[in-house]
Amino acid sequence: MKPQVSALNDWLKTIIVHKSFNYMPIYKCNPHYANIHLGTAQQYSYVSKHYENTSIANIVLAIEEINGKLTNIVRFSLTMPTGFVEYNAGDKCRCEDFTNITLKNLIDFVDLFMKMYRNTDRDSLYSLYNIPNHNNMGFAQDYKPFKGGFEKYFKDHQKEYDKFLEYREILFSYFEKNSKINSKRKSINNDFVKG
Amino acid sequence: MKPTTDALNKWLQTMLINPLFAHARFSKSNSGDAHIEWEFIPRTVKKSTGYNTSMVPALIINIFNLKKNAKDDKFVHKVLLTIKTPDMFIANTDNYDRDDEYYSYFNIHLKDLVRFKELCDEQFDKIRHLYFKDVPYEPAKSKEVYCKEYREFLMFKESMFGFFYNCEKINAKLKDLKKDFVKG
Repeated sequence: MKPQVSALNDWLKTIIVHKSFNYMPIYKCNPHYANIHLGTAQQYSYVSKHYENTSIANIVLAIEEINGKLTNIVRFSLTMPTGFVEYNAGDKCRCEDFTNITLKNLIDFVDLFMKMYRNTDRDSLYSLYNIPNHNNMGFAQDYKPFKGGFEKYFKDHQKEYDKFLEYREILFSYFEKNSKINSKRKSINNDFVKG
Repeated sequence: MKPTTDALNKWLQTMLINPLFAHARFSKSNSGDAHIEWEFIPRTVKKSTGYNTSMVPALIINIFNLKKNAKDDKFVHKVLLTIKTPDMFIANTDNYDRDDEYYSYFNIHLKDLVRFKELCDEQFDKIRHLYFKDVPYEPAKSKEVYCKEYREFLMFKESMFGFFYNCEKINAKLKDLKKDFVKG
């Protein structure tokens, strides 16, 4: 077995049995990549023209040999709530690759994400995906018929939009910060398998 | 760690990295049960203001770890298989879940699960198209065609449930089940 595949398998063996990853669908797409769905929400699909229960936050794990050294790549993507997409169509999904992330970083990140996603406050990350809009009328619990143009809608939900951007920045910054710190460490090769 | 949790973890670690289970989605619950789903198909669900289509798993395997059997001090585990019925065969009902059939089996080994996945991949390919038909069923089609396709689906379902049924019967006679359950 290639060392990259073996290293990825070692990660997955730890992840699948770790409590922080409970209830998260984990799967291998091919020997070199694995997917973890961190959270799902009912979001409007511009492909099917229907509301679908889709993954809104996703992690792809890959391990590659760069300059003779095994390097891990963590791709994190976060989808913007449907209601806000029309405000900024080019910002539907933010997706970035990070290298030198340790297993411990990944576990801490998932804990941080879940704290944001499922906190009991009204402005949890999950709640931002359930704001009624003209696409999901009737699906949200606090159903209110959507009246007026998008500008009015956006004005009503400016606070939530800002909150979403704030959450997103925290999540991406976490990986960015740790990627930088770890790249300076000498023993990253060892850490990345063992965490 | 409880021996049952440890045993389940070993199963999951083996299955997740097995190429046969590529694309199958694994998740574990807090109570130590596991969920494997694959073959995602479109399913229409009636909501308050209309119909909502989602990609849902057509096949689901749940693995439950039960406590030691008081009588013979053996580990007991349960494998539950759920097969969703294609929308076109579900008529005049708003409750789509009603026609999803599931049965549970005891004494299934890890190697049985691997063999099941292999068999299922092969068989499901033949009936996958039934899940992608328009709903309601095209009226232009004759009743014979409808019945033929329905029979195909029933045969698929029978062979899938039948597989676990046979494994359960055979394994129940094995003496060394405890060892097998962990090692597969």
